[in-house]
Formats: sequence, C-alpha cells, structure tokens
Amino acid sequence: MVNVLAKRYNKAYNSLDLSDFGADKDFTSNKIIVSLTRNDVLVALFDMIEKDYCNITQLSLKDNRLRSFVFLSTLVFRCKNVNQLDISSNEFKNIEDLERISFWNIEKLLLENNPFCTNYTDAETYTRDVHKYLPTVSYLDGINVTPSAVKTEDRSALLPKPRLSYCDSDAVRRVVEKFLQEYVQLYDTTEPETVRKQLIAAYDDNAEFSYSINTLEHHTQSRGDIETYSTYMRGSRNIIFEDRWVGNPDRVRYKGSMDIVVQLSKLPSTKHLVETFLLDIDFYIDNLCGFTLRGLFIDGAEQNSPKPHYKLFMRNFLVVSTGEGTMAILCDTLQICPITDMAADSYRDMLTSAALEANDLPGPSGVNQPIHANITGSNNVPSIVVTAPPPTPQPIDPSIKRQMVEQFAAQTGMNLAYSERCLEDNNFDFEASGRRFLEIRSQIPPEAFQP
Amino acid sequence: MSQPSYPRSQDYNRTPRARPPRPNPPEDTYLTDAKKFMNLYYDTLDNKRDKIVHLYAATCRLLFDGNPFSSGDDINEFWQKRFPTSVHTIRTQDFKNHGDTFLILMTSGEVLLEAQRRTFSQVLVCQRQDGMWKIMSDGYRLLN
Repeated sequence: MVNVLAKRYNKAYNSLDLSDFGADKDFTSNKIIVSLTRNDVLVALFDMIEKDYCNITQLSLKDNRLRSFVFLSTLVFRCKNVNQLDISSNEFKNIEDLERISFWNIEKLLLENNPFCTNYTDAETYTRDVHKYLPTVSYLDGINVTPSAVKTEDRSALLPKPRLSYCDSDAVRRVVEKFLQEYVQLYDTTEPETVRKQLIAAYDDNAEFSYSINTLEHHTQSRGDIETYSTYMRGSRNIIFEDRWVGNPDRVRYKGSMDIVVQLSKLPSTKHLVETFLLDIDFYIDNLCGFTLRGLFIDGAEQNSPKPHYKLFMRNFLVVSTGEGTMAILCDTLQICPITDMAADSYRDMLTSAALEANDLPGPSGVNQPIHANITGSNNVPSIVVTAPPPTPQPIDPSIKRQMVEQFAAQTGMNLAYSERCLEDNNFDFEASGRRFLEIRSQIPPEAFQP
Repeated sequence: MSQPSYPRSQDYNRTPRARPPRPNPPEDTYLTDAKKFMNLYYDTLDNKRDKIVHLYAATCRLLFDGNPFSSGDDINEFWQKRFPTSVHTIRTQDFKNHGDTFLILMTSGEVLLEAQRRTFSQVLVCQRQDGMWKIMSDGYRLLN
C-alpha cells in the first residue's frame, strides 16, 4: 500500500488521489484485494496518510464504494489543510454526514453520483444544503458557487505555546510551593470533618473564603457523584446564579479563620492530583503575594476507583508574609468544575506539551525555568511543579532510570509499566519519549492509564 | 451587625398585605463593582477588542498560559494581534475584596476561539487608579 500511495501522491499539487483505490494496478497485478469499505484497511491507510502525507491539500476518494463518513472524519484532524475533496461516485446516503468533515475549509467539492444526490431536483437547494455543513465551498460539482462563509484566518496558530507554572522569582516560588504542599496534604485527608480544622493555622484571623461550582456548558451531564455535587452547590457563591444567595449573601461568605475551616471541614473529601498542578505566581508587592493554583482532583471516596470522575479546580490565594518563609491567607477563592474523561485527557495533553516546551528553552536564565527535581534524594513529598530531569549522559544509572520512569508516569498519567516501555522504546530520551507519547496518544490502550 | 427591628405581628390587622417585605440586605458595593467590571471586561474583549487596553492599570502584567506580557503595550499587542476572535461563555464567577485596595475577580467557562471551543480560567486583580478599578494582574489559562 505504501508504494501505491507514493505513486498517487502529486507533489506539485500537494494532492493524493485515492480514486478507485482497490483497482490500482499494483494491487490487481499482485492479486491483492484492497477494499476501502473494510475498516481495517481504512485504518491502516489513514495511518499511512497521517504519517507521510499529513500536509495534503487535495484528496480524492472517488469511486471507492464508501458508505460512511466516520473514518473520513478521523482524517480531518490529522490532515488539517485539505481544501479540495472529491468523494463523488461513492455510496453516501446522508448529506447530513458532511457535518463530520466540517472542520475542513473545503473550497472545491465533488459530490456527484452518490445516492443522496437523487434527493435533489434543483441546484439551489442542493447548494444550500451543502453550504449548511461546508460553507466555504466555492466550486461544487463543476459549477462555481458563492460560498456562504469566507475562510477565516486561522489565528490560533499565533497563540503562544502554553508553559508550565510561572514565577518571576525562584525564592518566592519555593516558599509558596512548600506552603501549598502542606496545605494540600492536610486538605486531602480521609477525615475532612476533623483534620481540615488544622488548616486554621494557615489563615489570617480576618481571612475570607468563598467558592463556586458549575459544569461547563458543553458537559452539563458530567457532574460526577450527584450527592457530592449537591453538597458543593449548597454553599456555592456563583455570581451566575446570584438569585440563589443574594437574599442572604453572608451565608456563602466565610469570614474569619474559624468560620472558614469549619466550612472547609464540611466540604466533601478530596484527592488532588498533584502531577496536574499549574501554579502561577501572579504578583508580590510589599508583604503581599497573589497566586493561582489550577489542576485536577477527584472525590476522596473515588480515589481507589479505576474510573474516577475528574473535577477541574482553580484556587486563588492572597497571602501576607508572617515571617521568614511563613504566610497567612487573607483571601481564598475556589472554583470547581466537573469535567468528562475526554476533557481531563485534553488537559493532561496540554500539560505534557507544555513540559516538552520547557525542555526546549535555552539554558538556565532564571525566569520561566521549571525547578529540576532532586535526582539524588528520594522525593517523598509530591512536587507541585511538573518538571523533567535534566538529560543524562550514557550509560544510564538504574536509579536514574527509575526516577525518569516515575516522572514520565506522573506527567503522562500512564502507569509505571507502560511508562517504562515507552522510555525504553526511545532509549530513555525523555523528550523523544514525550513526543512519541503525544504522537500515539489516541492509540494507547486504556489499561496503560490504570495504576 | 444589629438586626433591623420588625414591627410585631400584633401591630397589624389581619390582612396579609400589611406585612412589610423583608428588607434587602445592605448593598455590597464590591459585589456591584465586581459584576460591572467583569461584564465590561468580557464585552470589551469579545466585541470591542481595541478598547481593552483602557481597562489595565499603568503598571500591569498579563500571564497568558504561563507566558508573561509585562507592559500595557505588550499586553495590547497580544490581545490585538495574537489572541483570536473570541466569544466567552461564563459559567462560574466569584470575587473578593481586600479592603479597598484589591478587587479580585475569578471567572471560568468556555471560550469560542474562532471555530474552536476551549475551557478558560481567568483571575483579574484590580487596584484603584483615580478612583476607578484597573487591572494590575491578569492571569488567563486555557485548560484544554
């Protein structure tokens, strides 16, 4: 198949012509039967396309007896630049399926000779329906048409790549991290009703705390455990639902260290996933410091569950320095958002690519460098900043190997066995393993992520 | 805080209409300011992007996905040239004030960046400048 693909790739036009694929002479002369209606053939074919031809702008799948758009839709994100598509002379029955490829900004489209075409008697309705799903089409089945939308300039490529936890000063970062480590350890107790009250030492006498919770608009289903969600809802001060508390605003505002820890001890137990933490130190002025911690957590009750329900959290702290390396919280604002598994994976993927970014930065420059993990000692306390160990020279010490496996597992979410395998496959090159992991992410079996 | 004194029920005749409505809690000016500012910020960011620089203080810093932009000019250039067209859908909003010195606004939800739907979380820390709240620190993260 690789040979056939190479034959049909036209470099000048950046196009791939897969029309009547099965009938290609290379196959028939070798008596190989290749049919694109077979799922396994399509999967293999598309993998090859993604590997070598992911920049194509023109694609033809004409005359292949295709019925379903499902596999074609997987190509959409792998070959993002396709703008000319020929899927004529196939067996597509539903024009609505065009929605599956709507991410492509198709300009030239050939659709004729598919079963759904017989549903149309006039060109206008036909064009209109095509434009419903592919508004940028300007040439349809041999006729120029006016597109109903112009392809917008893709600015998202200009966004800066996400980076890990940020701080202007390492000294400030170290103090804040230590504080948060202790805080999270107490907070994640299995007995929140009693142990969280010990957090009183972290708060200023006149501190203030409030929190809010809501789902994302797209995922109103994924609340996780309904009882836990309701418990959080009761004390939530979300301005979006102002009516629920504006009649008695003091009910959702916890003032004074005692009131605060009492309320914290009533909230459900939690297990924060430290390897997903992002800490941004927003500012420090005089003896005040503001920082925001974001990441994932799960309900304490689910911490041994193979499929826990993830929640995103964002917590902003305004603290005042109370002495050498100690601080007290003045303002504590927490937001919680239950999310789907897919969203949690997407968050982790973002962290992994941000971690790789960090490795690519030029030599130490103080600002914006992640702290290197303590490679020699054993690191019992979880590190809040996601980091990678510095590149190691050959041969690799087995204890260093173990550290790398643990770090790779922490950053990717895979278990130790799979992490070790991935690292081995890439000669314990941490960056290369990370890149490979990202490349094959969608094909990694779910058991890789089970402890 | 002293409770307002309600008239006793026997001071009224039997008609239910004579009962006064429960008095509203005293207005929290910081809540009002917070709501106003957050609405203004997202409306400007989504629909009047060229005016967004006016909401920032003289000394300000934007931390976008861990990338710092440390002057009004840098921040403005980022929003005008690099941040795509946006439509923010806010799902969660809360605030804090530290005396009259800081107003902390926290927002999260989804944002449509051109055609892509993403999750965002933002913390705005404002300080007074000529009596008005202006952003001193802006922390924006895309979480997927």
